[in-house]
Amino acid sequence: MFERFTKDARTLVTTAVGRAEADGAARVDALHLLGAVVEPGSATGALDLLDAVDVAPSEIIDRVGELRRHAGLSDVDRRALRDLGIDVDVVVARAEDHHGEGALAVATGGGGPGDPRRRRRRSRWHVRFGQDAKRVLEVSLRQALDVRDGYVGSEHVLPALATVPGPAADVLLAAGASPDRLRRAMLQRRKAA
Amino acid sequence: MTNATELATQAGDSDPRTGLRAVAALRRLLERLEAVQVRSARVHGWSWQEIADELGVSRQAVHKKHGRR
Repeated sequence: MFERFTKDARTLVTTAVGRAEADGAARVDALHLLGAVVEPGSATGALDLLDAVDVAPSEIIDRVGELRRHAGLSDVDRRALRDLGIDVDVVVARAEDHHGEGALAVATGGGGPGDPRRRRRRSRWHVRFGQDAKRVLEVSLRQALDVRDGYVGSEHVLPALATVPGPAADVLLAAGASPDRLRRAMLQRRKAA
Repeated sequence: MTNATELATQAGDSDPRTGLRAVAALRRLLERLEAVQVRSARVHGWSWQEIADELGVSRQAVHKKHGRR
Protein backbone atom coordinates (compact mmCIF):
# COMPACT_ATOMS: atom_id res chain seq x y z
CA MET A 1 0.00 0.00 0.00
CA PHE A 2 2.84 2.42 0.89
CA GLU A 3 4.24 2.49 -2.65
CA ARG A 4 1.49 4.93 -3.60
CA PHE A 5 2.28 7.27 -0.71
CA THR A 6 3.87 10.62 -1.56
CA LYS A 7 6.96 11.84 0.28
CA ASP A 8 4.66 14.13 2.27
CA ALA A 9 2.44 11.24 3.39
CA ARG A 10 5.46 9.07 4.23
CA THR A 11 6.89 11.87 6.37
CA LEU A 12 3.54 12.07 8.17
CA VAL A 13 3.58 8.34 8.91
CA THR A 14 7.23 8.43 10.02
CA THR A 15 6.47 11.35 12.34
CA ALA A 16 3.53 9.44 13.83
CA VAL A 17 5.75 6.41 14.46
CA GLY A 18 8.30 8.70 16.13
CA ARG A 19 5.59 10.13 18.39
CA ALA A 20 4.42 6.64 19.37
CA GLU A 21 8.02 5.65 20.16
CA ALA A 22 8.55 8.77 22.25
CA ASP A 23 5.38 7.86 24.19
CA GLY A 24 6.57 4.34 24.84
CA ALA A 25 3.28 3.27 23.22
CA ALA A 26 2.90 -0.33 22.07
CA ARG A 27 0.97 0.76 18.97
CA VAL A 28 0.80 3.71 16.62
CA ASP A 29 -2.79 4.92 16.88
CA ALA A 30 -4.97 7.47 15.08
CA LEU A 31 -4.12 10.13 17.68
CA HIS A 32 -0.42 9.76 16.86
CA LEU A 33 -1.31 10.32 13.19
CA LEU A 34 -3.37 13.38 14.12
CA GLY A 35 -0.51 14.67 16.28
CA ALA A 36 1.82 14.24 13.31
CA VAL A 37 -0.54 16.25 11.08
CA VAL A 38 -0.29 19.30 13.34
CA GLU A 39 3.45 18.99 13.93
CA PRO A 40 5.05 21.92 12.06
CA GLY A 41 6.86 20.95 8.88
CA SER A 42 5.55 17.40 8.88
CA ALA A 43 2.61 17.17 6.50
CA THR A 44 2.18 20.21 4.28
CA GLY A 45 -0.76 18.81 2.26
CA ALA A 46 -2.79 18.10 5.40
CA LEU A 47 -1.89 21.42 7.04
CA ASP A 48 -2.94 23.33 3.91
CA LEU A 49 -6.25 21.48 3.94
CA LEU A 50 -6.78 22.27 7.63
CA ASP A 51 -6.10 25.90 6.82
CA ALA A 52 -8.64 25.73 3.96
CA VAL A 53 -11.39 24.76 6.43
CA ASP A 54 -10.27 27.52 8.84
CA VAL A 55 -9.05 25.28 11.63
CA ALA A 56 -5.86 26.34 13.41
CA PRO A 57 -3.40 23.56 14.30
CA SER A 58 -3.19 25.03 17.82
CA GLU A 59 -6.90 24.26 18.30
CA ILE A 60 -6.28 20.60 17.48
CA ILE A 61 -3.26 20.52 19.81
CA ASP A 62 -5.34 22.03 22.66
CA ARG A 63 -8.18 19.56 22.16
CA VAL A 64 -5.82 16.59 22.06
CA GLY A 65 -4.23 17.84 25.28
CA GLU A 66 -7.64 18.03 26.96
CA LEU A 67 -8.46 14.53 25.78
CA ARG A 68 -5.09 13.29 27.02
CA ARG A 69 -5.98 14.26 30.59
CA HIS A 70 -9.16 12.16 30.36
CA ALA A 71 -7.50 8.80 29.72
CA GLY A 72 -7.48 9.51 25.97
CA LEU A 73 -11.28 9.67 25.86
CA SER A 74 -13.06 12.29 23.75
CA ASP A 75 -16.22 14.13 24.75
CA VAL A 76 -18.20 11.63 22.64
CA ASP A 77 -16.55 8.72 24.47
CA ARG A 78 -17.30 10.30 27.85
CA ARG A 79 -20.91 10.94 26.90
CA ALA A 80 -21.32 7.33 25.75
CA LEU A 81 -19.89 6.11 29.06
CA ARG A 82 -22.16 8.45 31.04
CA ASP A 83 -25.08 6.78 29.24
CA LEU A 84 -23.82 3.58 30.80
CA GLY A 85 -23.62 5.15 34.26
CA ILE A 86 -19.86 5.69 34.26
CA ASP A 87 -18.64 9.20 35.01
CA VAL A 88 -15.14 9.45 33.54
CA ASP A 89 -14.46 12.65 35.49
CA VAL A 90 -15.07 10.80 38.75
CA VAL A 91 -12.87 7.87 37.64
CA VAL A 92 -10.07 10.28 36.68
CA ALA A 93 -10.41 12.21 39.98
CA ARG A 94 -10.30 9.00 42.08
CA ALA A 95 -7.28 7.69 40.18
CA GLU A 96 -5.51 11.03 40.70
CA ASP A 97 -6.37 10.96 44.44
CA HIS A 98 -4.68 7.59 44.78
CA HIS A 99 -1.92 7.75 42.21
CA GLY A 100 -1.13 11.42 41.69
CA GLU A 101 -1.99 14.07 39.14
CA GLY A 102 -2.25 12.88 35.57
CA ALA A 103 -2.47 9.24 36.68
CA LEU A 104 -4.77 8.30 33.82
CA ALA A 105 -3.27 10.72 31.32
CA VAL A 106 -2.28 9.22 28.02
CA ALA A 107 0.99 10.31 26.50
CA THR A 108 0.44 11.79 23.04
CA GLY A 109 3.83 12.49 21.62
CA GLY A 110 5.38 14.74 24.22
CA GLY A 111 6.95 11.78 25.94
CA GLY A 112 10.39 13.20 26.63
CA PRO A 113 12.72 11.41 24.20
CA GLY A 114 15.58 12.38 26.52
CA ASP A 115 14.34 9.99 29.19
CA PRO A 116 16.91 7.15 29.24
CA ARG A 117 14.24 4.62 30.17
CA ARG A 118 12.30 5.49 27.06
CA ARG A 119 15.40 5.43 24.93
CA ARG A 120 16.21 1.93 26.07
CA ARG A 121 12.72 0.85 25.29
CA ARG A 122 12.82 2.38 21.86
CA SER A 123 15.65 0.11 20.80
CA ARG A 124 13.91 -2.97 22.17
CA TRP A 125 10.41 -2.44 20.87
CA HIS A 126 9.19 -2.52 17.38
CA VAL A 127 6.19 -0.18 17.31
CA ARG A 128 3.35 -1.58 15.27
CA PHE A 129 0.21 -0.01 13.86
CA GLY A 130 -2.98 -0.24 15.88
CA GLN A 131 -6.19 -1.26 14.18
CA ASP A 132 -7.51 2.32 14.09
CA ALA A 133 -4.34 3.68 12.46
CA LYS A 134 -4.41 0.86 9.90
CA ARG A 135 -8.00 1.76 9.07
CA VAL A 136 -7.07 5.42 8.66
CA LEU A 137 -4.38 4.50 6.13
CA GLU A 138 -6.78 2.19 4.26
CA VAL A 139 -9.42 4.90 4.12
CA SER A 140 -6.75 7.40 2.94
CA LEU A 141 -6.13 5.18 -0.05
CA ARG A 142 -9.88 5.00 -0.70
CA GLN A 143 -10.16 8.81 -0.43
CA ALA A 144 -7.46 9.10 -3.08
CA LEU A 145 -9.13 6.53 -5.37
CA ASP A 146 -12.52 8.27 -4.97
CA VAL A 147 -11.14 11.46 -6.47
CA ARG A 148 -9.00 9.52 -8.97
CA ASP A 149 -5.68 10.59 -7.55
CA GLY A 150 -3.01 8.07 -8.44
CA TYR A 151 -1.17 8.75 -5.20
CA VAL A 152 -1.90 9.07 -1.47
CA GLY A 153 -0.86 12.40 0.04
CA SER A 154 -1.31 13.75 3.55
CA GLU A 155 -4.29 15.69 2.14
CA HIS A 156 -6.03 12.28 1.82
CA VAL A 157 -4.96 11.16 5.29
CA LEU A 158 -6.63 14.11 7.03
CA PRO A 159 -10.18 13.41 5.71
CA ALA A 160 -9.58 9.75 6.56
CA LEU A 161 -8.71 10.73 10.14
CA ALA A 162 -12.02 12.61 10.31
CA THR A 163 -13.91 9.62 8.89
CA VAL A 164 -12.74 6.61 10.94
CA PRO A 165 -14.74 6.76 14.22
CA GLY A 166 -12.72 7.38 17.37
CA PRO A 167 -11.16 10.14 19.48
CA ALA A 168 -9.11 11.58 16.57
CA ALA A 169 -12.23 11.99 14.43
CA ASP A 170 -14.08 13.47 17.43
CA VAL A 171 -11.36 16.10 17.87
CA LEU A 172 -11.50 17.07 14.18
CA LEU A 173 -15.31 17.24 14.20
CA ALA A 174 -15.39 19.32 17.37
CA ALA A 175 -12.90 21.74 15.81
CA GLY A 176 -15.15 22.06 12.74
CA ALA A 177 -13.15 19.86 10.36
CA SER A 178 -15.88 17.43 9.33
CA PRO A 179 -15.19 14.77 6.68
CA ASP A 180 -17.52 16.59 4.24
CA ARG A 181 -15.88 19.98 4.67
CA LEU A 182 -12.43 18.45 4.32
CA ARG A 183 -13.41 16.50 1.22
CA ARG A 184 -14.96 19.57 -0.39
CA ALA A 185 -11.87 21.63 0.39
CA MET A 186 -9.70 18.88 -1.06
CA LEU A 187 -11.68 18.86 -4.32
CA GLN A 188 -11.60 22.66 -4.58
CA ARG A 189 -7.85 22.69 -4.15
CA ARG A 190 -7.45 20.09 -6.90
CA LYS A 191 -9.60 22.17 -9.27
CA ALA A 192 -7.56 25.26 -8.50
CA ALA A 193 -4.27 23.46 -9.04
CA MET B 1 -19.59 23.71 16.84
CA THR B 2 -19.74 20.23 18.30
CA ASN B 3 -21.23 18.15 15.53
CA ALA B 4 -20.06 14.96 17.17
CA THR B 5 -21.73 15.59 20.51
CA GLU B 6 -24.91 16.74 18.79
CA LEU B 7 -24.96 13.57 16.78
CA ALA B 8 -24.48 11.53 19.92
CA THR B 9 -27.34 13.38 21.62
CA GLN B 10 -29.72 12.96 18.71
CA ALA B 11 -28.85 9.32 18.43
CA GLY B 12 -30.01 8.54 21.94
CA ASP B 13 -29.82 5.26 23.82
CA SER B 14 -31.28 3.12 21.08
CA ASP B 15 -28.52 3.89 18.61
CA PRO B 16 -26.06 1.01 18.46
CA ARG B 17 -23.37 3.58 17.74
CA THR B 18 -23.56 5.00 21.26
CA GLY B 19 -23.50 1.55 22.83
CA LEU B 20 -20.58 0.38 20.72
CA ARG B 21 -18.69 3.59 21.37
CA ALA B 22 -19.19 3.11 25.12
CA VAL B 23 -17.66 -0.37 24.86
CA ALA B 24 -14.65 0.93 22.88
CA ALA B 25 -14.16 3.80 25.35
CA LEU B 26 -14.49 1.45 28.30
CA ARG B 27 -11.80 -0.75 26.79
CA ARG B 28 -9.43 2.22 26.50
CA LEU B 29 -10.25 3.31 30.05
CA LEU B 30 -9.65 -0.24 31.26
CA GLU B 31 -6.21 -0.31 29.62
CA ARG B 32 -5.25 2.91 31.38
CA LEU B 33 -6.57 1.71 34.75
CA GLU B 34 -4.75 -1.59 34.40
CA ALA B 35 -1.44 0.13 33.62
CA VAL B 36 -1.82 2.44 36.63
CA GLN B 37 -2.79 -0.35 39.03
CA VAL B 38 -0.04 -2.71 37.87
CA ARG B 39 2.58 0.02 38.20
CA SER B 40 1.30 0.85 41.68
CA ALA B 41 1.42 -2.81 42.75
CA ARG B 42 5.01 -3.11 41.48
CA VAL B 43 5.97 0.03 43.44
CA HIS B 44 4.42 -1.65 46.50
CA GLY B 45 6.67 -4.65 45.96
CA TRP B 46 4.13 -7.08 44.52
CA SER B 47 5.49 -9.93 42.39
CA TRP B 48 4.28 -10.45 38.82
CA GLN B 49 2.65 -13.68 39.97
CA GLU B 50 0.65 -11.90 42.70
CA ILE B 51 -0.49 -9.24 40.23
CA ALA B 52 -1.40 -11.88 37.65
CA ASP B 53 -3.46 -13.82 40.22
CA GLU B 54 -5.48 -10.73 41.14
CA LEU B 55 -6.08 -9.88 37.47
CA GLY B 56 -6.97 -13.47 36.65
CA VAL B 57 -4.40 -13.78 33.87
CA SER B 58 -1.11 -15.65 33.50
CA ARG B 59 2.11 -14.29 34.93
CA GLN B 60 3.59 -14.35 31.43
CA ALA B 61 0.71 -12.30 30.03
CA VAL B 62 0.96 -9.56 32.64
CA HIS B 63 4.75 -9.44 32.44
CA LYS B 64 4.76 -9.31 28.66
CA LYS B 65 2.25 -6.48 28.70
CA HIS B 66 3.58 -4.39 31.57
CA GLY B 67 7.21 -5.47 32.05
CA ARG B 68 10.00 -2.98 31.27
CA ARG B 69 7.72 -0.04 31.76
